Amino acid sequence: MSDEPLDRYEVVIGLEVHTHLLTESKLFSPAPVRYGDPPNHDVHWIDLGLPGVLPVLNEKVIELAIRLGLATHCTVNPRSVFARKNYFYPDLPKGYQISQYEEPIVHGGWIDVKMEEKKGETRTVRVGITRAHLEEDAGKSIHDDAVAGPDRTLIDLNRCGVPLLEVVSEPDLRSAAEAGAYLRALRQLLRYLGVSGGDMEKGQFRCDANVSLRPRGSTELGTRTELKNLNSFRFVEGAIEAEIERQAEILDGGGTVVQCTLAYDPDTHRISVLRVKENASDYRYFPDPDLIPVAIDEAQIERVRASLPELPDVRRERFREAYKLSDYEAGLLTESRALADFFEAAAEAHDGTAKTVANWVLRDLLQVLKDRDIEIGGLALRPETLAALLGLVDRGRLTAASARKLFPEIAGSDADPEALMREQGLEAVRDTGLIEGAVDEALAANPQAIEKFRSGDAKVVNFLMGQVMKRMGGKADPNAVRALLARKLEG
Amino acid sequence: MSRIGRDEVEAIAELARLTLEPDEAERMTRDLDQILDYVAALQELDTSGIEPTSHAILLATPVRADQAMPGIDPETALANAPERAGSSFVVPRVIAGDEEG
Repeated sequence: MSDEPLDRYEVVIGLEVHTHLLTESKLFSPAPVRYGDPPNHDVHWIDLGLPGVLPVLNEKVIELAIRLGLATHCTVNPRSVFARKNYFYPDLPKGYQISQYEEPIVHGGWIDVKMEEKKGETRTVRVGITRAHLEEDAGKSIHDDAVAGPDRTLIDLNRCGVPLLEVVSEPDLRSAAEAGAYLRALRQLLRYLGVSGGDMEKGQFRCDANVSLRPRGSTELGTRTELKNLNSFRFVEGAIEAEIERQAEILDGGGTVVQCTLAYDPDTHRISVLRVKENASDYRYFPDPDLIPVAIDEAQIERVRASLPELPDVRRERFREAYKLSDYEAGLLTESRALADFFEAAAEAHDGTAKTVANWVLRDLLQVLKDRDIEIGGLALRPETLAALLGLVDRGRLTAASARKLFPEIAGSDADPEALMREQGLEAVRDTGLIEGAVDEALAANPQAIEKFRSGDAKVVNFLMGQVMKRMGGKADPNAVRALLARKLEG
Repeated sequence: MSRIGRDEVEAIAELARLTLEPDEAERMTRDLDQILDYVAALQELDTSGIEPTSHAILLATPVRADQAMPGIDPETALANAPERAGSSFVVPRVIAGDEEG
């Protein structure tokens, strides 16, 4: 018997993702959707479940659900029904969650997920989307002794009623890595489509994982367990790996896996049982008498279809071809729609090659974003300004090194590159007399380099370039230096 | 023939977080059985080929524009709370993590 559980067993994983929809107001109430407000400041009578209130559907959520449905090749149901899912918990004052059960808003599609294999090789996994349905989020419970006091729980209903789309995948995933890749692809798609902010720290994108094992070669499904509330990609992968080990140990010992709900502790990498799963019928679903079915006609679907942006996979492919980039570079640039838009606008505004723009975006721009811990939308820099900076470099008026020195300031303020270059005295020296002097000095100080060049080592020119630049304080026009060096070495 | 058993009544009571004394459970079983018996008359109708009706109105649900209004005053929201801490409701401790999503 081999050591790795996945040599003996095949793991079958299906994921349920709860994603907050990008709306101003809640699913059935006009209370605002906001994060970080003091407890119970964003609630309406409807969210409190007070007697006599009636839910009214937010029309925006229908459009957002159709957007995701179309982008994942789902069928948009002409009629869908809200149902009550009954259970008692203090963060859900009504005693039921309004969800969709037998008739969800969209169903039956797929997402193609690219798995990075060895360097430069990718494998595509097609993951079925069983359904996506609309439902309301619950409030937040704070159980912490230090905050709530012993034996008490604090309830904050700000999140209660926030619109969620629950996206249920088919059990098509066969490893923790595939599960992670699917989640990244789904989150990227939701963000591209403007359907969800997808911020995991704010709870806008949460995942439950259904995991079962079966002996390799078997086609029957084993008993599955459900891992709840996995709120980062790393935790999802860690939790699935821990659960694979746990189930393999049970099966190896001749035991049977019990269907149950589990929690994962990322600090200890341990799984604990929350509860033995209630049967679906225990939620006593029934159509919500307060809400009439949602009707969607063909015209509305077509309007949404016409408004869909270019999807990340298509854009990645187009970037690779149109801008002569590697698949890896194109992948990074299309990671978010805002970054891809920025790159594309800068590449169009720039006269030189798009590759140069890609290098600057992927190296210098991403570095600035990382240093400031912001997203590209938080930066003043306009794509045309980056193109202007690169234009100065192309024309030899600014060395690449000086441009990089200026970049963080320009990125933050969108300052005019030419004015800033002058102000800081970084304009490249193009005075041939001055440059020639520095070239002569560098050659005189490095006779061994001249020898090397004459014996056929062309790379030594780079070393000499560096020597000249050092003498010029890094400000000589590199094109002029290169030309002069070539003339003197070959002459 | 009884239409509902004591076990089922107790299971429903548990889901509804109701505590029934043995004699209450007994009485409830009897009552529910009679109620079910009474409405069972409906089963005699042949409804094959008829779509289930959950609403008598044949309209699509009304919708509202996605416009936020300020939440109600937290003092009003919390006015009926048996116990509060700051602007949070306070309830007896429920098991951590036993949450739905």
